[in-house]
Amino acid sequence: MFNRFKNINIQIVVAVLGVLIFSSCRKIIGELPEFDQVPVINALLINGKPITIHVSFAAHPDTTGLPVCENANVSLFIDGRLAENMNYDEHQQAYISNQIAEINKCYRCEVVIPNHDTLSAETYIPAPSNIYNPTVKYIGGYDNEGRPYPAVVFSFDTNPDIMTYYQVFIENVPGYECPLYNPTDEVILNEGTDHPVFSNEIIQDTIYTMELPFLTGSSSDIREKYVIELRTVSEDYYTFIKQAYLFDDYINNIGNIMTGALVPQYMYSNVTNGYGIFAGLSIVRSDTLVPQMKELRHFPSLGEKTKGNSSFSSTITTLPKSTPAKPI
Amino acid sequence: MKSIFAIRFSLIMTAIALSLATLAQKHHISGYVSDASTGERLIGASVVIDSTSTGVATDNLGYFSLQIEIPATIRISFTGYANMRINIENVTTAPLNISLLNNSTNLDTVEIVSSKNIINQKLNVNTLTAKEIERLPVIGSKPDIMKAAQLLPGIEPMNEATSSLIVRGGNPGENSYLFDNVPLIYVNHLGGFMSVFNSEMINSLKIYKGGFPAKYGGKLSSIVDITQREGDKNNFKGSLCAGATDISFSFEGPAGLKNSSFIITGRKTFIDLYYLGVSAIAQYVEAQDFSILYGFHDINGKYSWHPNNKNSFYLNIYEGDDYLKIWKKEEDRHELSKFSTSNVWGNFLVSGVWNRIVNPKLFVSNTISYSKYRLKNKYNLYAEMSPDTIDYWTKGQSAVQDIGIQSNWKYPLMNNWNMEFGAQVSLQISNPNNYTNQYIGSTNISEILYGLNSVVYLENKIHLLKIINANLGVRLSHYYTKDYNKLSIEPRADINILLSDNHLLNLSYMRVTQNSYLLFTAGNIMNNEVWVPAGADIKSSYSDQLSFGWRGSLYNNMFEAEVDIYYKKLYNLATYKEGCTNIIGDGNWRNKVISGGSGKSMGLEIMLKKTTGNWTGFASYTLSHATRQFEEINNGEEYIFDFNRPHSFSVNIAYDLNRKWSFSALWICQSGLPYTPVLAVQYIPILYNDGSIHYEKSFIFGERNSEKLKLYHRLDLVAKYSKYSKRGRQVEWTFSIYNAYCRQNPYYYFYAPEDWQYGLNTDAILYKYQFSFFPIIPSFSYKLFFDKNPRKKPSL
Repeated sequence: MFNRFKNINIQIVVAVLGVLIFSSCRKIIGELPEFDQVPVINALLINGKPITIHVSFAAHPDTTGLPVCENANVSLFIDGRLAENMNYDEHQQAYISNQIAEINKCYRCEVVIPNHDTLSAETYIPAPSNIYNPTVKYIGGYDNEGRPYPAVVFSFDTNPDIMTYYQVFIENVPGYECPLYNPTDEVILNEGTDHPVFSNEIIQDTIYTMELPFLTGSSSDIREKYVIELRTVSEDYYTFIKQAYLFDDYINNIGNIMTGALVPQYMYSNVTNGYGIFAGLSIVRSDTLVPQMKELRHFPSLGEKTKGNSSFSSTITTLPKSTPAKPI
Repeated sequence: MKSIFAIRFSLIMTAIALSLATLAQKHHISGYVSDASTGERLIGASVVIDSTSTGVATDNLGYFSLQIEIPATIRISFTGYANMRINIENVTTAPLNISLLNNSTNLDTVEIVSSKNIINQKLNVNTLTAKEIERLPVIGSKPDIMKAAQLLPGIEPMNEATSSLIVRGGNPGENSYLFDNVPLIYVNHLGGFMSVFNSEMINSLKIYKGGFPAKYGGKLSSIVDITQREGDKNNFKGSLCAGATDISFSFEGPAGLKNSSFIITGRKTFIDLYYLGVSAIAQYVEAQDFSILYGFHDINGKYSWHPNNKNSFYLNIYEGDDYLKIWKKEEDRHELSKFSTSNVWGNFLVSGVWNRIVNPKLFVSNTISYSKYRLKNKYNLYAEMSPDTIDYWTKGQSAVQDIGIQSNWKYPLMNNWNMEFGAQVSLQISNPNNYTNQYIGSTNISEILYGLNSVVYLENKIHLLKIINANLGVRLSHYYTKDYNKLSIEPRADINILLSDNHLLNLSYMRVTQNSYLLFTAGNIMNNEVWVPAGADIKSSYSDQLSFGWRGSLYNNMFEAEVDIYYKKLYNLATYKEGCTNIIGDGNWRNKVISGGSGKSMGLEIMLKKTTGNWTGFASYTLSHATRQFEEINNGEEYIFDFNRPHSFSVNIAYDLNRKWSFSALWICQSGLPYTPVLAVQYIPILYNDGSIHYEKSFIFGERNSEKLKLYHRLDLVAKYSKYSKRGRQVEWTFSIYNAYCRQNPYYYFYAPEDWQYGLNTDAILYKYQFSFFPIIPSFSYKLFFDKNPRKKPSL
């Protein structure tokens, strides 16, 4: 029954009526201006994983598959020393290193492509933070149409004296990312967006507990399983991924007459003489979290709901403070 | 440095004032000029000492004060009214109440003159009369003062067909809308497609774009001074009007007490029925109990009482709301559920005014006012599912209230020096973000912010050497909140140099401070305008503006022409952070706002106006350039202002064929709004949960607002047919065509693959799309007048 309400998208209804009234129209116009190819370096250096660097070209918007650069000379420097000249792997369409990314090291790459200026970028890999006591609340709140949505609750350690950046990935097992919904955590709100990217700028303590409500796409299905992935990221990645989320919002609102013209979302790049992102991060994952079936009913009564928030919260897998989750 | 300049300026101005005060004084007369048949005060009437060029114009209250040597003859004139001369042979302290005969009253026996007099003209100010507004074509065939104002040089709409004004490169939230000298906060209906001002209530419209008199302030870009009509003191009359979008009424007449009158007007949309009809169809098609309602209403009233020649009392009330409501109900054997959502936004205003002529030299106007704007939404779910019952709701509201008191005084020191001074105090109560959510661990966010704004001002209107008319003033403003104090010294100078009877030059400078910000998302039909007050985090903004211009009358006053150039700098601007569109429900809303921005704007404005003869109208052209700079936008680089239109031209022509038929046409041609182009696409890495990295396409944008939408132009046509019924009642049909040649003007561009609704996949080829609204839109309205004097055509 409640899924039917989900079909009432106010914006769509008003948009359709607006279209009827004003007979708006859209059409393809004009040619896009020429654009000379510019090299792009992309690499996410993950603690404990082999290093790969993807080199491609930014191209005119009417290009279908963007060209990948196979003839570049890619050099990897670790803490200022040349560590390796990387080889191109056709299968992965990327340059592969024998090096395993490690925390607290400074990585730099230099890419030489014929007829282009030398590209370079550098980054570091921050140490991971630990997750404690991850839980899933079946009811983290109710949306504008009264449907419940869940929330994850977890603690993590951080050093308030060192500016540290994070991304949280709430995975709906077996795979897709659950977007945040109406977050009220002040650390998230401090970022000015509703996305799970934040810094410890306003965190005072060494342990911080965060509650993140999210959408699952099927809120009434209580058999979902979740994993919390906490990514401790470099400042470059933080800036980049924040813009990437905003760009995703931009894409999702394209052509929406309710929002009108959209504000452009520039993608952050730390690559000299090109585009792309070269950034490091460390990842910690919780165990799989499953709500306890016996405590759940299809829709609880308000009387129960207003008495407290424990009835439908379930701690399925607890990681005690002494045994933090391990990095993947 | 700027403060030192302001202090020096104030000292010089005071010195000039003191030196002029030593000159000899003569006898003063004062009073009101009004319409003989209705008793309504006339604004801008000329009161001149006969056979001289010495005179004044009546102000927004119809009041004048003039120094004469007895005996003297004064000549009073006003466009469309009989000229009147009065001999004054004895000293009198009693105020004069001068009544002019309308030209339609007795055309054969009175002299009709044009009141154009270059002495009364000002630059930086555009004036439109009710008749001029009435003739301009708009969607729905009903006049709209904001749409009319957008045709004036230096003033443009934010987007096509919206009521919001962009004045000399300023934001929509930088305009002060004064409704009989009381600020009204929100001015849009229907997502901006209509303004909240019912033209039935409007007497005159003045828009100050620069050189603000010291009396005015609080907003950086313009003062929109709207004077409401007074009701007819002698006759009951009114009108009913039905248009394509709404129905409206107007009633006026004597109000019981001697010399008192009332006028009340109201509007209500038709499109509510349209929406309900669509909902009914949807119910039939989808077999769902579902309704949607969208519309607005407003009601406006004014009570006037002039118990004697010295005292006048006014009471003004305005109330108007837009609303979008949705209901849905589902029921089966086991369950009943009802869902509703409601969005309401609008204004309320009430004010009381007491004007008193203390003596022939001293006039005082006291006003107390309360205005409120609020945007609120509520969602409710009620469900019965045995044995449980759910009654869940959320409420959000953003509101700002303004409680004000002001006292404005006029005192002529001598014939060539009039002083105006006063004090204004207003308490602003802002609650930008009040949110309650009833569920487990319900949240209740509410933060009430108080701001006290105190102002004193002094204006000196000086006429020197018969060729200089200067308004030199200063405005001292103090803004106080619990964590923020701001004292502003705002010097003002507006100097006119008369080159001849028909030509003048103007030079003006002003500084203005603004203590609140309008945050909005352009193009959102459900209003999301939120006002936030200045404070420790978001400091007050201010602007400096310098302008220079010429105004003249040509061909025996058949044409008026003006040319202005201006340069404006804006400081401490605030806006939404990129990617943020709303703050309601967010306790840390300040993190979504960036401040400390700056702006520049410069331009050339030309206007040519013909006001006599069967053919009338005006043409205007604006050449402008406006930029903004914020540390967190466009990499901190200066960029073109979102609503910058380098070229804007409009021409409006009206023709009276005979007493029944009149026609008008409007052609607008403007540069397209700026937009940010997509230059290329690139891969970006997205890290998945299994540790794999996928490469997705994203855009590489060019510099912000570095390109323009294609040229905007359209032609609007209006035909008006007026006749008298057998009962002697006047009826009026208005037929209009918006965008007569059906130009598909771009509203905005966007980039997307051909199957754009499915997102941006890696193989997608991007195209540039144009989104257009408003093709050719024909409409009509029907208006029926009620009048005890049925053969006389009432004014608008």
